[in-house]
Amino acid sequence: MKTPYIEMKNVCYSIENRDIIKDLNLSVDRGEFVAVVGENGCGKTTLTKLLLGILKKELGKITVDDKEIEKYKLHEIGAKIGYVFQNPSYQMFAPTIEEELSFAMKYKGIDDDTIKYKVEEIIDRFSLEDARDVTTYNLSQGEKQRLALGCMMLNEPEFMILDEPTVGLDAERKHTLYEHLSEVNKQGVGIMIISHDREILKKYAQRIIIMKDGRTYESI
Amino acid sequence: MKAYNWDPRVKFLIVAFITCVGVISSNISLLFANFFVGLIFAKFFDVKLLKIMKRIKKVLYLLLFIIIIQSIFTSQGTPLVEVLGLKIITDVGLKRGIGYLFRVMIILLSGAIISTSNTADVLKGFSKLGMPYELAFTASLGVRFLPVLMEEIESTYIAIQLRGINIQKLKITKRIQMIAYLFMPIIYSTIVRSKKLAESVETRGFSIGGKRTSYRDIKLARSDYLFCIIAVLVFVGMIYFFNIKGDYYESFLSSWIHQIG
Repeated sequence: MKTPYIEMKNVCYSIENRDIIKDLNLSVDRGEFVAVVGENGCGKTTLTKLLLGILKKELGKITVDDKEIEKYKLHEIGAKIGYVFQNPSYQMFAPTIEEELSFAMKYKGIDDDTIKYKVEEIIDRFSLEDARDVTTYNLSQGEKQRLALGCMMLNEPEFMILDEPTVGLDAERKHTLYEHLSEVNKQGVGIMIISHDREILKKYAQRIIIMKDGRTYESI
Repeated sequence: MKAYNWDPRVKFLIVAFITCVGVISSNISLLFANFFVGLIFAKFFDVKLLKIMKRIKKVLYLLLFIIIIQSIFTSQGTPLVEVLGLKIITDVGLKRGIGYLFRVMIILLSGAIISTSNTADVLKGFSKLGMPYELAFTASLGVRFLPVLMEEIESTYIAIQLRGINIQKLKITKRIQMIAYLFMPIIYSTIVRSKKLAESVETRGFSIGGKRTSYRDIKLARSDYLFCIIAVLVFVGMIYFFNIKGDYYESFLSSWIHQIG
């Protein structure tokens, strides 16, 4: 039997006696493209934080790649799952695009030539050439999203989670971003998108999971 | 049960006492007593001490590191740890280190006490004490945004680790370099927030100078006065007691440190 890449069984989480996640069950296969949609405050972001081990669940079981989440250190889960924040500014550490892209590789002891080659490849692939000389904080929202995505790709993750990546983007740019993600998915990287774009995502995601009151309901 | 809403000026008085004693005194037993008294008063103001302890736990190693550094750079006193004739830790150094730790804790406690009042009350309190409104407004905003800043530091630290970087395994030089990267998004968001805040207050008609009116006023109640009198008595008593008995406790502490050494 095929083991799911991500599995959540009867997971519960609350803040100050208020249930945020209630008896949640979720299973995502390796290489699958899923979208999680739901109203504001239904627990979507909490779900991703539980999956990454940033928040600790109160009840239930969470496994990633057949290993319980508690057994991973944050940097280990970061190497497996790429996470793009709702506000990508929080994950920009360097003043230029090149420095930003090479940031993690520099600390992992990768040689300069390989770093340069990989950085150029990402700049080209995510159409960041025009923004090369712009300070990372002055990039447009779409460019920031693409840069964050590029940074994650350089980590060569097995799975990616994107928390509302299309906030502040117009319809055309939303489609461009989803096209990029579909391309990434075709290379075997699993994707989970937290979003409100239910209709647009029907075109790209293999499965849409609806969240309501801290529980999941599958749609298509 | 809803906690009593103390006047912010009562809190200012307590904070002024504990910080003054913390800064002026070098007697460790007095510093300890001062911190302990501060904790008791904090409990009256409904400070969530457990929550603060949890936060301090995360930077505990940093505080211990400060104690050791303080101790290493103090060569006076009897050596407790000596390597190749070089005094690493001395009794005087260790005492200074512990004193420093208490001072840091007192600063944290003071912040926690002030933050139990809402911004408007703190602002009003400062103004009633004669502080210019603009200064009071800036100071209270600073206090108000401290928890947000802490949260952002935590988020950025998580974001770095989620890039697959094992910070614990990095060499010390690279870790120091990492601090610069850690502060970059924080400084950015702080600048953006202050800019937005400035725009927001200006659109609401905030300007420097002019007469100000206030819908909400603060007034010292009888219980506030009583609390202030008790606080003055406690602090005067504490300082008086440690001035007389302080030497006894200091010598007791010194012999205890020597026993450890």
